This record gives sequence, structure tokens and C-alpha cells, in this order.
Amino acid sequence: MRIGGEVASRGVVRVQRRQSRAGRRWLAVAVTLGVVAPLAACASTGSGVPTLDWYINPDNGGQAKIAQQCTEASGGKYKVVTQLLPRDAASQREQLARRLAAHDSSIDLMSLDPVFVAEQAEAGFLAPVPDDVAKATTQDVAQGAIDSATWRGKIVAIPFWSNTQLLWYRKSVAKAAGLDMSKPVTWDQLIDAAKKQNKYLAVQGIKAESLTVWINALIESAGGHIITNPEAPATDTKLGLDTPEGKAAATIMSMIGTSGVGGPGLPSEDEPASLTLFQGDKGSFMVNWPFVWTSTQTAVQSKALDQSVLDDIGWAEYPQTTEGKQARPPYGGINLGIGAFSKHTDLAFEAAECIVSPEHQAQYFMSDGNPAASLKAYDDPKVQKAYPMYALIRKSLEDAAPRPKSPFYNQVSTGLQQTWYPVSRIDPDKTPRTSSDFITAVLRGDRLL
Amino acid sequence: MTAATVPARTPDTPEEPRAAGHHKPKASDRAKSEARLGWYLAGPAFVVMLAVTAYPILQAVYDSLFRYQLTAPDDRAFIGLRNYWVILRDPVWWSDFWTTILITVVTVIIELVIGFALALIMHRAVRGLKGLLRTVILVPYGIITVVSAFAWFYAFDITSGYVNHWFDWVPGISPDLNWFAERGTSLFVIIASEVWKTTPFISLLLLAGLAQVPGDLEEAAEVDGASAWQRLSRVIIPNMKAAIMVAVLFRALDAFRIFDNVFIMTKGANGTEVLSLLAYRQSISQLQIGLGAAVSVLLFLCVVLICFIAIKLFRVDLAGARGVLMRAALTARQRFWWTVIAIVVLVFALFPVASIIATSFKSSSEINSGTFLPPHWSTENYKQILSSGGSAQTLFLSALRNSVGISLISTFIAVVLATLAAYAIARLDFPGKRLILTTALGVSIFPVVSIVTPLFNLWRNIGLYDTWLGLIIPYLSLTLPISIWTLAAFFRQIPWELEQAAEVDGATPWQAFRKAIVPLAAPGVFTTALIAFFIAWNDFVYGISLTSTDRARPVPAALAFFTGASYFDQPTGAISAAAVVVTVPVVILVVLFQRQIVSGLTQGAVKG
Repeated sequence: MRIGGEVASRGVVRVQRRQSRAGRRWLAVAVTLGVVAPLAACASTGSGVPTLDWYINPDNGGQAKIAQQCTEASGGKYKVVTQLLPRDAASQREQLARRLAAHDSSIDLMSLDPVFVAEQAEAGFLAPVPDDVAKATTQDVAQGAIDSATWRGKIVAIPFWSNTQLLWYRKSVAKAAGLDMSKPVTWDQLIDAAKKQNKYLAVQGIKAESLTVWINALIESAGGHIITNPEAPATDTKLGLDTPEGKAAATIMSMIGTSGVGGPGLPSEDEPASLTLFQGDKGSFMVNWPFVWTSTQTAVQSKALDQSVLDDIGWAEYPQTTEGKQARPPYGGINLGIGAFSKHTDLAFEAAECIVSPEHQAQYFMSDGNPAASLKAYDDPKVQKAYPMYALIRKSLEDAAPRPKSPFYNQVSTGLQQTWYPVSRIDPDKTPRTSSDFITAVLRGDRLL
Repeated sequence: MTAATVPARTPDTPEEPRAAGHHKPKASDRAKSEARLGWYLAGPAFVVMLAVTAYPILQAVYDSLFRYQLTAPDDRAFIGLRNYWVILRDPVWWSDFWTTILITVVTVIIELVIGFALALIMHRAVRGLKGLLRTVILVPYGIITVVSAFAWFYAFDITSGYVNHWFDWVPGISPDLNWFAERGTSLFVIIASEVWKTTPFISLLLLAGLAQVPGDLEEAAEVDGASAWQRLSRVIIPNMKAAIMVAVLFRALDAFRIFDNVFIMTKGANGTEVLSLLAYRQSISQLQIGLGAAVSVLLFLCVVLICFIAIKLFRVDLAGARGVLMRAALTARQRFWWTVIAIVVLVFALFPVASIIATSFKSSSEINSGTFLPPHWSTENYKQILSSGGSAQTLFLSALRNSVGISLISTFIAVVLATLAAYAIARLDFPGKRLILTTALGVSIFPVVSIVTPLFNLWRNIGLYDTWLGLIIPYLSLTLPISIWTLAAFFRQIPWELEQAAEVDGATPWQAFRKAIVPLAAPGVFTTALIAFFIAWNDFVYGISLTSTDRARPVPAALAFFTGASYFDQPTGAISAAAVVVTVPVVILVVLFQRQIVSGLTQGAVKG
């Protein structure tokens, strides 16, 4: 449509006759532009105080608020300004890596998804963390969070908040199925219970990072690992997919995908879609992050949802892949990385220390529903009141298993999403092997992703 | 390419004997100065077009010979043609290739049929309805592709959509149908949105062709007892073959580069990935510069191949017959049916717009109501993007500022350069004229994604990444070619006697141009500017690839950054509201200037 093909160049010219009419329209355009132009005039003004650009993942405004608080607390030493990254983790990585590869000095602080910490550290995109900062910011912090910020034995990023998935259930459904939710449950039990009552199980089956989150939790819970030698170069990377643990994971996913218990929305189901399904008439069980608790409460307050739904919601630790074996729930969250090319790395580390203070973590937990990495934040009575499941979250964070730490994580994750999707097509006997072969070929540069 | 463009287009065709007759070279110094002036005027546009396309594609060819991933800069190594070898052996490439071909063929066929019907309706329609029809049909044309993709996506989406509830009486459709879970249904929605958005363009081209059909021929056929169908298939269609061919070629090239809808709706899941998306994913998402460049080069070669094949077809017959357009008197019954059809068209053209407006007024708690209209009208979403303190306000307003600024500047530059070039093309004889027209056509069929990869790399290195200038320059590759074509056509219709008179009075060609022609050409220039502005305003690929903050990010790219009330909430409402805000100015412009836009798009062939 970019070109107007000229078909004929004939006909009487009406240019002149149209002129007067066009004149009035010119005026209309001028008016339209007059309305819009002032927008273009607002440009930011600089000042003497060094500005630190903090690239943040989209949230409820909590990070912007902390930025403001830390700016004030610095007493004019620096000013923290937030810059928004895209919504999904993969696009966040894209944006940051692109700028960092160009040695962009405007990136001072970044909110990093832990899975990309290894890649950035390996590429030299992260400024080395001074020992005193590393020590101060990892005190009383959940072990999972510390692990996620470590690469090759060194702290390379600063834990900010930690996330973990819980098993959310409708009390009525669990009761009807006769499940004792105070004890660990298995995926098989949940599938059975939902199927018998003709309800849907809410999981994230969309072709996105959340699918990798699910696969990883299932394999880790069975005792396996997606990558067995994470620090090896790409061509020597060994995958743990074509293993009994990989098969156990594929079996569960395939059961959910083929039996219809995942519901028709499964192939495009992300975290919010899961929540909608779970809140609906056919909701039964759901694995999801704690944001669902605040989200459901807000929905009840705005009368979009009945109080009885909220009262019917219970929580437990992530389901087991193998009966009797401690589940390893998904781990997520955000670490702060300091850009290696920043002009003010020292100030950036100071600001980072301010941002991740336990008080700010508690405040952020409350305002945005994202759990703190600092264990101290859970002692805050306000947190305990707002999140009655705080103790479970803390425990789940300790049990959680991170996704593989590898500089090639993105290739591995995308490769998984291409071979384990849609969930209904997973074949426990074939998928683990084909995906293992495919990802290995990708890492060797023999296949396209 | 030249073969396709020359017969109907250059001013020395018999269609414009005045122009041809007047400008025979009289003396060699006269011819020389004319040639010099020609290149002075057209040169800048020519150089810019080459710079924004030829350079990046050469860079892509070079990059494609390396193994190079941005996050592992130390691993860069020359590997010859290995990237091509990997791609061409890979099933992903071939499945994307066939998906792209499928989408192209199906959309072009559907659009040709519907577009022809629309053209007939506009050709025949009852007088009072004609302006309205034309305005309405231009609405999809002016709307940002990303916005149209969102409108269709939200209508069909299993959680927020209403289509399943409306059409659950159709076998196969139920509230449980997830349109974006299967290849067939996903492609259906993608193709539907593409058809909705681009059929107006094809129908306007066909309308121009329809005007070429000699009315007396049709009348004669009717007198001889030909049925309506026979008249259509024996008289009308053969007489507008050229127009149909042009329409098919442009649409096919355009559909082959489809990106925005697929990106918004499925991101290529379920076998809906197309070649542009593959190139984007390799270079922009995976940061595999080498592989991405190789995909871009291959995509470019595909487009060249399509063009080549199409031009072979063009050779068939370009000398369409011409005659005076005759409007048959309509009987009352015919008038009734044409009116009914026209109303159906109105609904078809406006419905997705109405749909996204309705969605934009749904509060966050009612976004999944599954109804078309909001159960309660709420301005929550508009507050979010417009009022101070709204969570998406800074994001949206800065994007709006960028979009307006960048689009206006690149439109301005393109129109200035194109005006000079088009004048030279329409009025002067100079060697290389065809080369310029051919280049313009070549640039306009360029796959944007092919340019993006190398530009991205270059911009990073010279600091243009994420700046206004970094978008203005590539936007010229979109706006300049069409501006040259449109303006050249306008200029050919200007009564050049005025210029002749000025020259007789002793003015130089330059003075004649400035004093006599510029005022007359202004309306044409303005129309061109409008069309160029729409195109720049619509861009998505450059916007998401060459920016990363609100310093330069335009609106279509910013929509992807919207978030709901909390991190995980769907931004459906906010996106819809933003979509409405950026669509309103377009609709106003379309309503005010529909006549000019139509004549600009069909370049003077449509009579009003």
C-alpha cells in the first residue's frame, strides 16, 4: 500500500477549481497541528545533579516511587529517573542487550530478569559489584535470590525482589475431591480432581517464557535439570531433557494438554488469562505468582468479582511432579544490574543499595504485589496482614529452583518454547528427545530458531 | 521494472502530446542546461533513495557472511555462505516461506474480488452516497495497521472478545473456540484484518481502471443483448487488465512483507510465522546479526523475483483502450440494491473501528464482559493515558510527540525533495529520468525488514540509534518514492501553457517553475504530503527496531509497552483508548480531504 500505482493519467484537471475549497481545509489542518504542536515543545531540562537512568520492567508505579524516594534521600547527590522496558522478559533483554552492545553510557541501573544475568555478565555488560556492596545487599536475603545474582562464583547483580509460584486452589473444589491441602499434592491428583468435577486447571500454556518456567519447575521437581553444565561453551552444552525427569515433565504436560482439562484457552493462556480462568465458574487449581492475590482483591473491591470467590481461594506449595519428592517451585523476580558503560557506576551502586533496602522491598511488596528478596521484609506486620500467605511465600522462595543459568539461556528457552508447544502435541516418548536434538543443533549454529 | 512503468507513465506517451511536443530539444546547449537542471532537481531525491536502501542492503550482504551474535562479540568470524546454507536447509525457513505465500495469495484474491465489488459500487452508486462511501472506505486505509490488528485481535480473543458470543450459532464457533490456538483460525483472523485494512487501496486502483473502460463499448454490448455478467467478463475486465495487474502487483508485494498483524496477534505461534517476522526475530530478538542479515537478503531476493515474474505478466497488454466514462441511469430497483450494498460496505468498513472504540470505554473489571458495548461506560482508560498521574500518561504522550514530530519532519523532507524531482520528471528531458522512476519503484517494494537489520547496526555505531533522526532517515525510504510518483502524476496535469507563457515572457525555466507552477501545484503537493504522512504515521517495524526509550519511540511501537493496572493485567483497555486517540486525527483528515486523497492515490484518474 505504500505506493499509489498510477493507472491512468488522463482526465480533465480540476486542480484550480478545487483551490478555494482546499483553502478552508488548509486552515483546518493548521488548527489540528496547532493543537498537537505544544506537545512537541515539552522537552526535559538538565541540571547539575548527575542523572541516573534506571531501566525498569513495567509495574504498578512502585519502582518509580522508590526512584523518587532515593533521589530525595541522596540529598542532591544524584537523581534517579526511570525508563520503561517492554512487558515480557525476552523483549526486555532485547532492548537492554541492543543498547549495551552499543556501549551505551546512558544505562546506569537495570531491572534484570535473573535468567539473563549470566548472559550479560559473560558479555561484560555488567559493572563488577564492589565487595562491600555485595556483602551489604545479600545479608538476610533468600538463598534463591543470591544464587540468581551469582555467576562464576561472584555476585554480579543485586537482588531486588523475588518471585515464586504457589498452588492456588478453590476450597470448594479441593473439598469435593477430598484432597487434604495441608499436605503436598501431586499434579496427577490435581488433574484427576479437576477432570472429575468437569473443571479447568489453570496453567500457562502460551508460547512464551512462562512455558519455560513451567517445564523447568516440572523437571527440577522430578530431580533433573534442563542444562547439566551451565558454564560450558555453547557447543559443549549438555542438556538434561532426554532423561526420565524430562519424560515425567512431558507426561504431566501432555495429560493436561490432551485431556482438555487445561481448557480451550490453554494455547494462548498467560498468567492473567490463568487468573481469569481460575476466578471463573470452571476454576479449580492454578499455579501462579502472588500478584493474583492483590489482583483478586482489587476485582472484589471494584465489584467485578463476588466476595464469595475470594473466600473460596486457598493456597499451598507448588505441586509435586513425583509423589513424595519435595517440589521445586519456579523462581523469578528482578535483580539490579549496573551498566558497565555508565559514567557514574559508583553513584549507581549507592542508588542500588538505597533501592533494595528492606523497607523499600516491603513497600514494593505492598504496592505492587511482588515479594521481597530480603527475608527481613516478611517480618513487617503490614506485609503479613496484606499477604496472609507470607510464610508460604518465604518457604517457597527457599525451595524454589531457578531456570538454568547460562549465557545461552535465551536460545535454550526459545528452543523449548518451539518444541514443547502446543502442550496438546507433547509426546512424552518423543518430545524430550526432539527438543534436546533441536536445541543442541541451535547452539551449534546448525539450525534456525 | 521499467517496462511496467513506462508505457502509461512517462510524459512523452501519446496521452500528453502537449508535453511531448513542447519539449523537443532545440539546441544542444539548451538540451544540456535542461539536463543539468533536471539532475539538480531530481538528484537529491535520487541520492537519498539510494542512500536509505542500497547502502543498507549492501551492508546486509556483507554482514550475512559472518557468524556474529551481539551478546558474544568475541566470537565473530567470517564463515562465507554458511548462514545461507543453514537457512535454506532449515524447515523453519520453508514453513515460513509457504505461510507467507499462502497469506499473500489468499489476501490478494479476496481483496481483488471485494475490491472490484467496491469499485463497481463506487462507480455506480447513487450520487448522494458516493462521497460518504469514499470517505468510509478510506478510514481503514488511514488507520494504523497495528491499531487495526489490535481491534481484530480483541474482537476474537477468547477472554475479551465478543465474536464467539455473537456467532455461536455458526457450526464450529462456540464460546470455547480459541481463534489463536490453531493455524487455520489464526490465519483466518490475520487475513481478515489484512483484507479489511488494505482492500480500500486496491478498490481505488480498480476504480481508476474502471474509469478507463469506454462507456460506449459497454453500451454497445448491452444493445447487442449481452447479459450483465457477459458485459463484466467480456468488456469491462479485459479493458481494465492493466489496472488489475498494477493493483495485484502492488498488493502482492505488500502482502508478502506482512509483519504488523502477525506480530501483534500471534508473534508467529502455531505456524503463522512469516518471513519478515523470521528476519526480525533473528536479527532483532536473537541478536544474531549474521543469520538475520542472511534472512533479510533472501527476503529481498524473493521480492525481486516476484517483481520480475509480475513484470513478465505485464507485458501482455498495457495499452488499455480509453473512452468517455458513461454513467448508466439506474432504475429504482437497481438504486435500492446498490444502496443496500453500499450500507453493507459502510458497516464492514466501520465496524472494527466501532469495536475498538467500544472496548476503550470498558472499565478494567468489565474488559472480559464478552459484549460488544461496555456494560457501563467508563473513561478509566482515557484517564490512564491522558490525565496527569495516569499510569501510561508519560509513555503515551511522549510517543505521541515523537510520532507527530518524526512523521511531520520526514513528510516535509520527502515532499520537498519529491516536488523538485517530480517537476523534473514531468517537465524536463534529461538522461536518467527512467532510472529515477525505476529506483523509486524499486525502493518502494523494498522489504522494510531487510533494511532494518543493517540500519540497526549502523545506527548503533554512529549514535543514531533511538533518536528522531534515526527514524526520519529510514522513513524517507517509505515516503519519498510514493511522493515522487504521486507528484509526477499531478504535475503532468497542470496546464503548462502558463509556464510556456512565462518562458515566452523571458523567464528562465527555474523562474517559470517557481512563479507559475508552484502556486498551481500546491494542492497536489498537499495531497501528497497527506498520503506520505499517513505512511510515516503507520510505521511499526522501524519504530520497534530502531528505538528503545521514550526519546524517539513512536505510537505504534509504544502500544506494545502498555501495561494494565498491575504488572500482569492485560492492557487491553489502555491500548484501545490510545488507539482511538491516534485514530481520531486520521479520521478527521480523511473526512476533510477524501476527494484529494482518492485522486492522489489513483492519480487523477477518478472523476468526482
